[in-house]
Amino acid sequence: MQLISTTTVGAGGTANITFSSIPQTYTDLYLLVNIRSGSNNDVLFMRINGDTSATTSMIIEGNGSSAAANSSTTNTFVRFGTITSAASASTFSSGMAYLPNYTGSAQKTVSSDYVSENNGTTAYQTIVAGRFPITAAITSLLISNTGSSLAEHSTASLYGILKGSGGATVS
Amino acid sequence: MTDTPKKLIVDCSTGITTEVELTAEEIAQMETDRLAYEAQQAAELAEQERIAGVKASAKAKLIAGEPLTTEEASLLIG
Repeated sequence: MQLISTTTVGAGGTANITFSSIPQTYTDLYLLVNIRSGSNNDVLFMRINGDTSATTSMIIEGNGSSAAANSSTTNTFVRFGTITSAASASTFSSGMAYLPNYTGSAQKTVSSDYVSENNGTTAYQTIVAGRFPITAAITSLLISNTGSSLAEHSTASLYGILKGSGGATVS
Repeated sequence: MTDTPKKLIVDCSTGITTEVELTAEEIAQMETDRLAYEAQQAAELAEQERIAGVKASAKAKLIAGEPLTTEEASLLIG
């Protein structure tokens, strides 16, 4: 696994983060985020290649006292997790997303898990299986939220994974 | 005057991160995304509350020895 690019949100926050010009030399993509939102009860989501076609996703989310399963076939994004500004101060949520075969010609899928950190009785754990109806290779990846912004000091790192032992490509 | 929201673009070919203002279309898309999520969240919450109601009804009927509907029985024992 090799780091492709990483970024940290500066003062004032940002509306969203886009990884552009993603190199096509890996097999899979692995995204790691550490996020705090400027809004309460906010959802972090991803979108690829700027495409706003309807996606499909299955979601299981627990909040510390119960869990619920939901699905969507109408969202133009794939949900990542629930983030909140109501969490303990200076506390960030963590998540990962795995996008296999991102240069292939099949529709693109994503598997993610996300936990919102909070020194309290409510925190969210979210597992998502998603599908983007896009057959083109992934060249850009958007990380955004349904609230106002991603807070200062939030980070996002994109890694590339090569198939084969020791990172060597299997022919 | 409200500042235009900004986004971060991480160019993976150079490793350079640039901060740029959102376009009007992007701002509109953000609003669309927010409304879509709120509608989905309301639908999910309504369904969860409906199921909770069915479970409560099933439990009360079970205690009272009254017949359950098919949905009530399925929620209790699958």
